[in-house]
Amino acid sequence: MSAPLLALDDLTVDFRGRRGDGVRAVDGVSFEVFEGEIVAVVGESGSGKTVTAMSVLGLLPDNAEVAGRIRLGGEDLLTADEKTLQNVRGRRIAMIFQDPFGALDPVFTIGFQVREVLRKHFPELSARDRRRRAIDLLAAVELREPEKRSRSYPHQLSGGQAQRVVIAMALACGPEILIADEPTTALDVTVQREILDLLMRVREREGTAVLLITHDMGVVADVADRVVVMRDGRVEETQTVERLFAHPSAAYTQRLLRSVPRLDAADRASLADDRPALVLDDLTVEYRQRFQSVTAVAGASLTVARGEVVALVGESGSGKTTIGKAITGLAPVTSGTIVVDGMDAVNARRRRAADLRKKIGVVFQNPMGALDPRWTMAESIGEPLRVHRGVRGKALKARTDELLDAVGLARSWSTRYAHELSGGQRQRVAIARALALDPVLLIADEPTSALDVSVQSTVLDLFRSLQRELHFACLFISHDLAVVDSLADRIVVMSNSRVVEEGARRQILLDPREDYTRRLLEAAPVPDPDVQRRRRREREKV
Amino acid sequence: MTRYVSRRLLELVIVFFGVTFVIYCAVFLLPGDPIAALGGDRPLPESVQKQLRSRYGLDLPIWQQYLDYLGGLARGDFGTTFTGQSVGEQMASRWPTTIKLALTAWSLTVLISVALGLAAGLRHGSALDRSVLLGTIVAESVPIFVLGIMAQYIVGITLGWAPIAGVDDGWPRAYLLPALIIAVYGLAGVSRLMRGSLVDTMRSDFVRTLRAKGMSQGDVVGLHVMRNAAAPVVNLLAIQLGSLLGGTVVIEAIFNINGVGQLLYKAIQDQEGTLVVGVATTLVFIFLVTNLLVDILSSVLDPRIRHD
Repeated sequence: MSAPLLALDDLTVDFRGRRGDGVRAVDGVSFEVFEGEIVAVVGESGSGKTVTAMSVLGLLPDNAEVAGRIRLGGEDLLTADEKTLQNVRGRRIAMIFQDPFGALDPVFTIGFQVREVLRKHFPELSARDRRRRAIDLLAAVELREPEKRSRSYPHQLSGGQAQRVVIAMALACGPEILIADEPTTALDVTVQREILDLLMRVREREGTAVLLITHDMGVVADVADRVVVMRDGRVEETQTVERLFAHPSAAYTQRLLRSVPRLDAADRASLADDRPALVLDDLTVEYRQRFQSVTAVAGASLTVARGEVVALVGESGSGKTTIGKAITGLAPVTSGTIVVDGMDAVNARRRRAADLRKKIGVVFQNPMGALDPRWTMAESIGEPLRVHRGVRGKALKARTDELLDAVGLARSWSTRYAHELSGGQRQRVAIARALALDPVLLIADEPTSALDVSVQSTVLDLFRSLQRELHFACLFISHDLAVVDSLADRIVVMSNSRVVEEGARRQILLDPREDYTRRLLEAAPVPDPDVQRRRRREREKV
Repeated sequence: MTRYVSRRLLELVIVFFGVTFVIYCAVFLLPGDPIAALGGDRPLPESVQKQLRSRYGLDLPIWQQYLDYLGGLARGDFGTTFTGQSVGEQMASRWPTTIKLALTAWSLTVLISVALGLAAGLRHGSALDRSVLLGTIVAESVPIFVLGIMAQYIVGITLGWAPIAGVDDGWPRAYLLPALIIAVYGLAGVSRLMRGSLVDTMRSDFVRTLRAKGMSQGDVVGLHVMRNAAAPVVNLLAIQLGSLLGGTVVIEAIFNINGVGQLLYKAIQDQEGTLVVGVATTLVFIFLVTNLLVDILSSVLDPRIRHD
């Protein structure tokens, strides 16, 4: 094999604290990237994968102390001065980021931002050449109407389009290596599919090597050649993608792969009985704004029986979250009915509305945002009991302890605050609060998508056991079909504000009737390199 | 953009009429009789008072008075005072002085506070940052007349660098000292906003992207960060310009400058309603126009505002 393009050798990064104390974020990391290769660095949050990527470009904050060697060709980037680094950044090593909107300056047109990097690295190009080149680049990342689009501002683009612009910017100077930090995490699965395909095509066309930072084993299986598994700042193992999925050697990798939810549509008994907990009939939600109105949900109907878990799946903007909001009275219902446990939820006023809220528990995606940072966990969990039932003192303490037991947290945690908890623990608290009033219906809006896979799997286990025990009906809103497969009894698929298909879980997953559902299923990356390769070949044939 | 500007212009017209009407009512419906006060200790005869009232239209209902006033405005006539002087002429002799003073003070605020904010923001947490914060707060906490009189004594009398009263020396010599004193009061707010806005913007993700593109610190800060951080600062500066134009009374008094502030103060004392309304109307107008300009400027700086 020829010499590596990029070689990290015993890289160590410490973050100095205010009082001289330090945290070691990366500890003796070594790996290599060869020409035209896609190397994935995987790990959960806090594993040091992003810090590793940032140190390659010298983009760490000032309080970082870096040791070891990072060699690009014959040059050591760690000892290089700022001027040299500026000539490497964007020219030889380019980077794309997780949040495409955040990555673009909101006040300049995207054309300007692409031309800017050309001006920096190819000052000899004339303004006209730059303009033409920028439009060619936008066309190369398959942005429609590149000429017109180049005059758009970032906020006028969709997430997928914005990420294409970021990629165009990264490819502008024909870099040897592209560092992609969770490039598709903020995108819908079908858009993720398109972006990953685009990256693969770029690699083929330009021979660009890609260093892909991700937590998603499905994405790894789909595009990577080699994989570096990181945990707590160390490399657990480095393997080719086939070997990693077939014979993971490190115990941690084995555990990680086990906790990735898989879509297998296994047979499972349902707890549903025939009394309906939630009935939506022909529900339409419109947001009015001055002279125009936006239809968020158009004529949606669905039912959730007591004890049943119904998954509402769809991509962003499909209206799935709006349905959850409409049920809790947070979205303007234009027509149609919502009946929760026999009560009309659309026209409920005052007392009735309060009664209704007791029947519904809600868990949101971001547990940090859902918990009051100035309240202890006991106060948060106890709030519904205080407000709705007037429970106080010893009785309240007893019930919050019971709830903490139920979600698997020690009773002593009741005096802690949200910032003292991890993401998974916070979500457990949010679930405990949602269940405090024994709700008939639980609405869970992407409750695990902000969590690491290993944490996600424990929260899902908890969720399943609680549901079996308490028999609540649940509307589970999610974009992740594998998660849905592990929980739901029935699946409702939404697209463009409408329900496009609904049915039993296995029917939808194994034998979808609608094109859209099929596309959604095919786009979801499966943690199996063989399956992904087969799918890719099939797509390329078409 | 044209639609945005025309909508804002329409709003401006509505606000102008609303605010001037409220001011008009506030001045002429308040207790106190300017005609009775004209005579001082010896009241004017009833018939003379009546005649004066009808000459100035004070016997008409308030809305009709207001409409007559608007009619005069349309012809460029601000009315006359009870002593028979033209309000327009009175203001014409005062406004240039005040505008010069306010613009000088405002420019100094912009220069100094943007520089301080920039220095503090780029080195936030440093000793420089802390001293800027402390210094501007200390300067702001000293009452303006204390600062004014101290400056007169030290710069004007002891050092003899600038005149301490009047504007006979012309711009900029006569204006710089009072303008500087006024500017000191804008510094704390503007420089802190500038600093905060800068620090926030520097933390945005797009700054990281720019650095990853190979842009130098100068490119990143000078073009991208400045334009993003400018929007809130521009807004605050505009509000300051508006209030400077109407609110330099104390400094005008200390430095014996015959500006609008003095005129307004005297007009209120003498219950010269037409003069008060005249000054207030021009002030409202200036305020609205500066605000409009700033809104247009912010929408040029930040394209997201145009499309709301």
